[in-house]
Amino acid sequence: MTFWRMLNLEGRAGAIMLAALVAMALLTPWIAPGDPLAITGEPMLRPFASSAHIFGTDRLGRDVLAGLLHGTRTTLLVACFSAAVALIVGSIIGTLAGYLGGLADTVLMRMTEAFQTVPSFLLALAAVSVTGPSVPTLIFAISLGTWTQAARVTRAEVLSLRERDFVAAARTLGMRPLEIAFREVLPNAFGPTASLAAISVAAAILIEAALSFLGFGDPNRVTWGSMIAEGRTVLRAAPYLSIVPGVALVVTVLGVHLLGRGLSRTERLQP
Amino acid sequence: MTETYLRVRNLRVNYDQTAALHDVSFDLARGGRLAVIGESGSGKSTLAMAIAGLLPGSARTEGAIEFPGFSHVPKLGKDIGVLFQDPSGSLDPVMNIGDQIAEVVMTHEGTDWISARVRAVELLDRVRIPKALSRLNSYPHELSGGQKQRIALAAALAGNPSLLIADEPTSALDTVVQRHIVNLLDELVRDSGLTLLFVTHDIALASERADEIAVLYKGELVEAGSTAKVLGQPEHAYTKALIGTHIALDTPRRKRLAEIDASKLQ
Amino acid sequence: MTEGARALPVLEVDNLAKRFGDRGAAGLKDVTFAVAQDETLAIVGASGSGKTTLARLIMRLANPEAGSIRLHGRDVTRLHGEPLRRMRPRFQMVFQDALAAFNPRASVRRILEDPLRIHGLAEPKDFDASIDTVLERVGLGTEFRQRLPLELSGGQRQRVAIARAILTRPDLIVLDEPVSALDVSVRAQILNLLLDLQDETGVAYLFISHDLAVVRAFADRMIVMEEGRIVEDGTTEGVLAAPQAKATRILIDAVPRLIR
Repeated sequence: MTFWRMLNLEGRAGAIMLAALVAMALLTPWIAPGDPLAITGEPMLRPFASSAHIFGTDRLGRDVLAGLLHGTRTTLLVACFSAAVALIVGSIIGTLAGYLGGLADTVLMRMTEAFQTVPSFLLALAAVSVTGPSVPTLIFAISLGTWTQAARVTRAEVLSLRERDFVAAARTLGMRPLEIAFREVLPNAFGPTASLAAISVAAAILIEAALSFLGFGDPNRVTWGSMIAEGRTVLRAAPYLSIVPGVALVVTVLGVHLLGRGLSRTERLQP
Repeated sequence: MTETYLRVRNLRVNYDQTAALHDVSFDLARGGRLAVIGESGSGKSTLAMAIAGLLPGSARTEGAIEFPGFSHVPKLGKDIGVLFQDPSGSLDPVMNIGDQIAEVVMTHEGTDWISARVRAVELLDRVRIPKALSRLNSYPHELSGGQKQRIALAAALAGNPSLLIADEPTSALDTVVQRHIVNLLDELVRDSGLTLLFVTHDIALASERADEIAVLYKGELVEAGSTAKVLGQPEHAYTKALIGTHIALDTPRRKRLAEIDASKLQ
Repeated sequence: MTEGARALPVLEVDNLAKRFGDRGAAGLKDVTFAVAQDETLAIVGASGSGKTTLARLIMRLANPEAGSIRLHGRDVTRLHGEPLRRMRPRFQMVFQDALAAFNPRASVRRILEDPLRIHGLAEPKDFDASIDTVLERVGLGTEFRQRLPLELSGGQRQRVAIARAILTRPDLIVLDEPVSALDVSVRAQILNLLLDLQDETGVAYLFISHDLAVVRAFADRMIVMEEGRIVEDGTTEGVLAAPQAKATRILIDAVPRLIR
């Protein structure tokens, strides 16, 4: 509960929103058992028209609520893992570049810049079209474009930390450069990088949704992006088919941002 | 040296549950130099900040801090100047030093920018910054620690205060620079009738520079009086122990040095 | 150690030069001196005289442009990588600001375990015993093992720093203003601890300071530096009784005298 007390109002609102989403994802097998792609009723039922289909059904008669819940699982899975991969890869590369300096720094940072020049969505799109859609390749494709920010932030922090006396002390003890970089420097440089997590997760959610919208998502899974794409064809007749998953997307990204802001405020208050 | 400038009576300061100062009372005469001596945790900085009115909001204060010569409550910056230990911390790193000093002058004297800059040059001259005019556009990072402390002093004097509170102004500096800064403080007291309250852990520095000494130990004022009396006939065991730990130029080599045995105090 | 090795100075610095120090510190020119076993040599000078640059060069944290540094006759000036790492236990350093010299996230236990682990000085199962012994030696109890640097007082931190430096049983410890940030009563305790350790182990100290009174009480010989050069050297008594260089006289005059 100390964590809760540390958060400000924004952070608490975000935490509640995300906790609700996680609960939805975890409880999916009980709330909406079975295959969300199965046809369970009459097509194009409006929301709240039938107690069996609270959010209605799509044009094939699939339950929108079931799709939404199963979509939460895919979205959270892909977003969290790709943000984690991006942060880990980014901070390792940033630490190496910042601590080793010289040629290693030049090579690694030119590489980072090369990745940065291509918009991360295009990178993900290119990667998925080569590897084919599945959850692991989606995670790989999304993190391909988002690790660069973490690398740059970590490098900047490491550059200032490596001039500190405790790094000099580790050198006088005979600690090897890689151990100094990863055991002494990186843990102290991770704060600013971790505050990027919120941005990374939010970016990953949006890229994942956009990929699914374009049909590059995993065809065996329901995602919010694919639901919006499905609904697009009957947008005039049944706008709710796009609006419901769209609102879910907004709530998720908002929740992540609010929690992220709340956390970074807390970090600044308690150095 | 008869007029009382500052009167502190039964001052208590508490942070949350812990007491930083218990029942401190003393007087400081106009134009006098008071050294507040103590070690970390003695409450010496708390005392200085309480007088300056710079205690954090979490501090609870009881007792009286009076300035008998004033008809109004003395204003920080105008009537009281404060000099801190770390000059890098009290100077704005992205503002040139001329503007930093001129800003204080404009705030307290209400002058225009040009006369404030002129006054800034005078102040830099007064704190013995060589070629003051050409220094106006320098930034703090271009200056040495001693010079930064002089700039901070110039800014503290910009409102023409009658009391200067210096919280360990030289403990981040080497002994040579320390000597220059304390000489400068002495001159200011002598020439412009400034009253000086300086906090230090160096009893020898206090003995050279102060008219009065107040010794703080664990938040208590254990001894106060004229420098000659406090150091010549110390009454409290802590004062005696503190004098005993002094390392002088004639301290014998490689002999064990005197330590303070806390269990034998009080 | 053989008799021949014993006669060699622990540290010999010859014509050491560096044009600019790191981070804008002063450079060095033709610095030559030696320190013997059981001896304390003080390096004194005002800020900007090159004391810190000298310490960083001797600790091989920076590279000189000319000259040599020898430890027990072995030239370490151009050593890098593994050979340098194997020499590291022989020379250690205590920094002025002990808080900055520790990883803020490392407990005292981890700080003291590092030298043991890096150089294989004890079996992992004996780490705790070695740590407790050294903590006791520097006057701290075993309850300090779990503390973080921020949870220690200035004096306790400097004791942990000394413990870390003596764990590898070095021949030389560079003490970079180890007491100038401490309270006077703590200062005496730390200096006494260092004197006792030298009596026990014969370790040589290179004591960097700007406070001549402390130097007088602590060091056998002293070198006065000004603008990267040695302007005076000799026994502490000799130099202080009859200073030759202007820089020395300025430093002596700057020491506050206790007037009673």
